[in-house]
Amino acid sequence: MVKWNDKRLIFLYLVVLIGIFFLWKFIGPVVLFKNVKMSIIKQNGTIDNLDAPRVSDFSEEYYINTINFPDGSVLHHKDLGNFGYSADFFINFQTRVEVLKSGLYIFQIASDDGFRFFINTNIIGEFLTNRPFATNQYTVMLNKGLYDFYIDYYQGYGLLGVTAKYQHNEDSRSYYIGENSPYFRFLRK
Amino acid sequence: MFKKIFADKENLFWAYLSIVIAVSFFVYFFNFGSPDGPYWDENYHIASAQKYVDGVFFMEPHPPLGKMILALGEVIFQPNKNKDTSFFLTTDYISNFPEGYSFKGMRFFPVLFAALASIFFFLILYRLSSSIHFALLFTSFYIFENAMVVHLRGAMLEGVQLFFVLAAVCYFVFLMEKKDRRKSYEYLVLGLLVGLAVSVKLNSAILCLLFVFLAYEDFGESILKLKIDWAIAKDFGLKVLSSIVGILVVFFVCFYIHFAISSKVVENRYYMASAEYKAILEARENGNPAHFFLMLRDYLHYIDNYEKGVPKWDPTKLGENGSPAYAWPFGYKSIDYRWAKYKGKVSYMYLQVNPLIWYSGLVGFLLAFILVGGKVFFGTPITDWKSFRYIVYFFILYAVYMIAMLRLERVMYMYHYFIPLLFSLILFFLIFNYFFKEYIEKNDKLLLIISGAFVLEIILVFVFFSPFTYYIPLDSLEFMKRVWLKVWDLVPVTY
Repeated sequence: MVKWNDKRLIFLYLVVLIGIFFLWKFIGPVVLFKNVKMSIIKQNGTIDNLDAPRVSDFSEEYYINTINFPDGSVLHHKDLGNFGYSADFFINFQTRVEVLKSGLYIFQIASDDGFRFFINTNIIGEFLTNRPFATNQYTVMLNKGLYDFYIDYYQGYGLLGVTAKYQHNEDSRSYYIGENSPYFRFLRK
Repeated sequence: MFKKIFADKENLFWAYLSIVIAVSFFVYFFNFGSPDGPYWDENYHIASAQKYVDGVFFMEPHPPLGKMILALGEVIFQPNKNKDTSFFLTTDYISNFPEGYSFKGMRFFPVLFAALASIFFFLILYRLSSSIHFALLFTSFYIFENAMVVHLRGAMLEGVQLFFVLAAVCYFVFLMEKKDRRKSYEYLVLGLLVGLAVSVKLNSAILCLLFVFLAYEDFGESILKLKIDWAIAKDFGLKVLSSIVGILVVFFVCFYIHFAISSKVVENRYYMASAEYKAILEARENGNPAHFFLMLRDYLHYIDNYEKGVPKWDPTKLGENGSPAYAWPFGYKSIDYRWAKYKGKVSYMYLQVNPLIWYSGLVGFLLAFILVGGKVFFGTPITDWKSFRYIVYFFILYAVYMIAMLRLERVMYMYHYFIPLLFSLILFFLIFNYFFKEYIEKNDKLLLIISGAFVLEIILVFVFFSPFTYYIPLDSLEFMKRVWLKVWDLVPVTY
């Protein structure tokens, strides 16, 4: 019979911990709860505004947990890491939202360079050309129910970044789009 | 039936050795012609090795044996017989290889030596442990280390070097196990093995400490008790001489072959040959042993001069691949040897560690430090003197190598850690044996199962990081899943 303080078990605990760490890295929560679809289109040429004709060199699709790419020289996600894009590309973010509580919601979209934000087919806000990292804020009334969110974003040259947050007007806390809260539940579209 | 066969110790030994060889050959030889372009120092090494193939004069910053062995594969298999490689002879760095150039010839022997080195690693562990089962399991430290596999599969020097390093260490362990005082010829044989390693890369000189350890085993007691008579002094002198002769014989023979082969001067490329050496080359006297030391002097002068010109490590430099020695045990810095884009996916040859193995080595070193420090400073009782003796020796090997590396001013790279990594992995195994001695002696089933699970994890981590090892395309998210620690400095290719 093996006793709990048997020194072989120290090794066993270590092996188990390593196994858990490996599983965590392989199928961690960041991987599991990703409800924002992100389509990257690498432009064959340069881009100077959001409505520039799209000439795709190639495109990629990913599912990510939040729209949170801080300002920097490459497209770097806060949780997922470096995506390896630095210039002349479009990104289209899509997700479905179940609004759990009706009310006024504040959306903060920060970008370098331009973006356009839709809820269903309605344009909520946009900035179409080059700019340094800056934030636009919009207030929208949403009732309980399902909505489709879209954000189109482009990067021309130089520094880049895009983040999108929401906040209920009665709450001081803001959440990244993709992050579940007492107000929004995100679903894959 | 199997039970009956494996009940015999000898059968078991050969069965396990066969497993080591089979797995190691699969890991190292699998698709070794890929990538079909050069990576890291292949551009340099193939340029040098081709000069041996064509008998062209050159000098370069490493001793000649490794390059000669590279060239041997090209000479035997001739995979590029119909390709124009003449321009390799007029450069030290090949920028563009001919269309369809096969790297299999130049890569064959480094890969073969790297695969065969696993045998020595297994034999070392087998000698150090009282259980062959644990020796087999922990041989996975050598076979499944991603950074070593990616580097040693190339036409580079380290595959051949590590083969001779492990051969020398294996022979040292074999000599250590002898009950009687070692003979002079055994020092000579060890000298030959060390000489082979040093003739590939000079940093193998760390193995000279093996002679010090052996001498301590043979003469330590006499020296400490000041019982030194003429017979002991004579024996000591003879063994020192045997060791030096062993090393120098191999070193000189390798250089002699180099001087004899490298005779044709192309486009007045004399490197730093003195006027006397130039005259020797013009008179086609380079095969004459009488000129050997003059040619050797010039070659060593070239190495010295080259080393002075190597830049220092500069972390502020964009794309700096070098790293300081103190960061190597943590896996800093990974190096993107080669990459190719394909529609959003990227294939990488990345010098990226298997973290489970790499950090086991670090743990091994730290525990050895605690054990040795405890004995030295606090008189901690030692329960297994045989293992402890080895722990001290491998600890010294590791520490001295790292101190030497820390003192170097030139830029160094993470693969310069392969030799101390192997020492640290042996230390881990020794500490493991020290800690679980009574269980290992009984081949305890529970410990075997746990060790087996640990090895399974090592293999899984190896497979997980294998796209970096075998040039398998990854998309950005797949790449990022492998960025476990920032310290590695893994950076995807940017579009």
